[in-house]
Amino acid sequence: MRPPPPRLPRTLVGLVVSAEDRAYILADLDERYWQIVETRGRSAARRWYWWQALRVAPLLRDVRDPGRVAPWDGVAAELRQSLRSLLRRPLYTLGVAGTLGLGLASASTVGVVAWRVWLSPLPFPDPDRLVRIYELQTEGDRGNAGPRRWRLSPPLVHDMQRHTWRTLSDVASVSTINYDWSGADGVSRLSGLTVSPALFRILGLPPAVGRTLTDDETLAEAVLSEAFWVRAFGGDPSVVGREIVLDAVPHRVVGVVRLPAGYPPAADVVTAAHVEEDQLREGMRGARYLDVVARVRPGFSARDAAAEVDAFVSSLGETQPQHAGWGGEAVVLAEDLMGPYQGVLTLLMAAGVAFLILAAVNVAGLVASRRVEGQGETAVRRALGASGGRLLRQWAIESLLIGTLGGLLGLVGAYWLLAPVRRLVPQNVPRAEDVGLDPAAGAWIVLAGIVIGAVVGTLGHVTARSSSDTRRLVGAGRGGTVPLRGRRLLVVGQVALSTLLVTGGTVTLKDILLLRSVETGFRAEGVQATPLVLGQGAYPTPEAALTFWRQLLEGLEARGLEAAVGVNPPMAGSNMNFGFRTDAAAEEGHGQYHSVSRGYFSALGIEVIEGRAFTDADHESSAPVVIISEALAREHFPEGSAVGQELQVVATPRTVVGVVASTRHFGPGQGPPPELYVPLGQDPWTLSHVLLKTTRDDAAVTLAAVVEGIDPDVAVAPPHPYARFLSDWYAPLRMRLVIVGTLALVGMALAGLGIYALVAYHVSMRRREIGIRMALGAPDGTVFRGVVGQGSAMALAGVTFGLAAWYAVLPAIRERVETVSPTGLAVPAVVAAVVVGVAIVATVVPARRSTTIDPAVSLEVQ
Amino acid sequence: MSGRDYLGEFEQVVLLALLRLKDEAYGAAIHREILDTTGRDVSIPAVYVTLKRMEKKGLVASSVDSAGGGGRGRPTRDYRILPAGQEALMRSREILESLWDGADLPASEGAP
Repeated sequence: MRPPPPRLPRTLVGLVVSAEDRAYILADLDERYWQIVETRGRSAARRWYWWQALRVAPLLRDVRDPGRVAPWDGVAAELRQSLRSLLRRPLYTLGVAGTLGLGLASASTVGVVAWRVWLSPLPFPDPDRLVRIYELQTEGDRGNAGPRRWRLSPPLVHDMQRHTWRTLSDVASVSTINYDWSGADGVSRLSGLTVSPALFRILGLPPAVGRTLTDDETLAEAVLSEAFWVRAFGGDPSVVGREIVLDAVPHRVVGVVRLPAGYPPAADVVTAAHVEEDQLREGMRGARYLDVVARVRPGFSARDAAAEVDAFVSSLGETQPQHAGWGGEAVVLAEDLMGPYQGVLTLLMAAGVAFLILAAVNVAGLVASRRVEGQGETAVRRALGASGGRLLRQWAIESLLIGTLGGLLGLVGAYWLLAPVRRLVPQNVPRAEDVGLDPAAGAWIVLAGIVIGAVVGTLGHVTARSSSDTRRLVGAGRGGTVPLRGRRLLVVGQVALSTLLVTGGTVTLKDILLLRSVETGFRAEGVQATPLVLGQGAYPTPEAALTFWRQLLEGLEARGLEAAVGVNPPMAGSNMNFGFRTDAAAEEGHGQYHSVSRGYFSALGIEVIEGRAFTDADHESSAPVVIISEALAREHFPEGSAVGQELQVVATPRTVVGVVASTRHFGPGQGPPPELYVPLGQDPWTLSHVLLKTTRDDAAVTLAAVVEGIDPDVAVAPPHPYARFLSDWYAPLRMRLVIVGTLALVGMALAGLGIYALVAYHVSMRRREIGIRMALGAPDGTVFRGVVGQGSAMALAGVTFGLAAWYAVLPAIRERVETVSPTGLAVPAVVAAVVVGVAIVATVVPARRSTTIDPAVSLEVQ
Repeated sequence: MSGRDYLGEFEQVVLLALLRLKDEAYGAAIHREILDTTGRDVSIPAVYVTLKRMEKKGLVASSVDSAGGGGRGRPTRDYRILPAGQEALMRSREILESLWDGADLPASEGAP
């Protein structure tokens, strides 16, 4: 059977050529099409057909019967005329196109962010069957209402991987790690992931080259991420099979994998998480820090999996005291990744869509008021014989031009808005780096501008025509008020919406100011910090690590630097929630665990409230001691002193020797968690932060020299101001402030334009009435005040509705967005003043024009 | 001789194709004839534009079978050349020949 010719170009040709020529021209094209299919193939023939269709235009001009007037006659002339007419009124043109552009830019910025970050599915097969597993604290720590999610401890993951699951096919842990890579150019720092080899199966990540990791625990193998493979090895496939040295341990490269954006965390290398005996100690059951994902078997839902995981963990509680009163949970990974941002994004999406609608309404309003003003011009054209259809076409062309300009402005605006938004999106937002404008998104924005501009602009013309009909104005008089009432409501709605947004922005600003004044419990000023990781290969024992840290501190002090090392310092992004048990009350609890050197408290300015700080006498062979935070002391030792009490910390009995001020470990937005400090000598880790209490410029150089002097194979990054942890913490708040603030500004601009357009329209409509009143001797001031009063009334109504809406949605916002403080009276008062102020400015311009109406002229026009 | 009587190059191509095709001169056939003999992939709309212009000038005539009841079983518009067309074609040829007469191409450098 012969393939049918391509439908679209065929239709195009059919539309263009005249009826009497259509049949045979199409027959000719079809015949040649089939011949070309036979000789050169179908796709060449399709291309040929398209090429023919695109060249059909000359046929029009020549072939058409000269007596017949085609609908496109004179389009070019009208295009030129519209262009000239728009260029003659640059303010009007820019105002209308700018309104459309503003709406488009804000809507598309929000849309792009929402799509990339949230709506587009994770790039895995069956992403809905990927779940993340949590351990659920249903009872336990006093004062905590409701269940709380925790990550999993190594022994629990070990148990889970040995369990036979009905609903889960595989369970894998993921944790991030930094490696020192001894390459040809010396030692450099790599970001790494240690994962259960099953992760690749669970996520459905195929190797780009070679293979992924195996369950064989005797092998030291590494998989490279595609990005690192290209960056470091130029994409050379022969890297597979070679050895690379990570933390002084040779690993065999077995393959290359493309890690998708979003999950798992970005990394250069991936190694297998081998479970070591040390990590399976019963005391480690309280060390809940592993991210665990699993795949749900076909035929089961995430809910089924959650039930089974919960039953499993609950049953563990019967034999393991660390799990008593705990349960488990499985949640869909995609939802879990986006959970914290979903609320903000929903609000933003709603605002974006609302803006686009408002922009469209305002465009219609501006066009309509312009049309009423230009009534004379239309009347002249009608008198010269222009038909209604032709006028409509002229307006459509003008609207199309404005739409195109608006679309382009929207594109530029979105581009401008996205750059700061991308910078402000916190690094830990999944797929934040994907946020950007690609050509397709850009094309959509421009296209949306053209379509909205053309449709809405034409509608504006049409509504203006029907409501400004001379007969109605002169006769019934109030014919134009029906559409006007609707538009007045819309303007009130716009003012209400921007009030809502301005309030949101102001509250965010207030939150930030409030949080800035929160006492964090430590002083970041004048402290520099850098993480330092010792390779487990070179430092296999705690003693070896301790020797390094001691030499480091001595070396730094010898050079006049006040220094300390500490694991898990405040706000550095780490979370080491370890379990403990009080001897006296036999209570269990959790606290942020720190292993710190003698100078840690003084370096960070953490006040010792009771007892003492660590001294050189607290070392590996002295009695095990612990310092606790005030929050922990208050919770577990409410009566009497905590000093001298006994605590079991990760299975080691320790004596409390001091109580220090609580720190806001997770940032100013959350209360201080209970904290436990043990001396470095009694639990040296291979990773720690080095803290330097100095403002000296040579701190980085000195640190590097000291480290180099001890062990040239240890890589150390230059220290950064500790205050950066705080500014990073404020990043999401700043993002909210910028986005909500920008939307509020856009909203205000749109509402202002809306008021302007409506009042201007109204003034134009009332020219006659104003003219009569002025002719009867009404003073300029009365007319001016009347017009301004009308604008202010709309603004006040809008502000009232907006504030009412704010209080109505406040509980919902609080539920979704943390750190929204209650609004007092000051914020609404300020907002009301600002919004009404803008509204009044927007009415003054057209109102002033009303006073310049010359009664003689305005009456004559009618 | 006025400029209007002189045939354009593409008009000559189309007229010659008509002559070669005799009774089979309709759009698709003309298009293929031009492609096969000259290698030029012109567009069918361009062919029709030229034919219609020449029809207006009285150089060609056409007959339409819009229902497709004729020999080819589909709608066609058949063209044939009129005496005026033949004359114009001859004249164009003479002009070109008289111009070529005595025009020596210099041997191009590097030619074999």
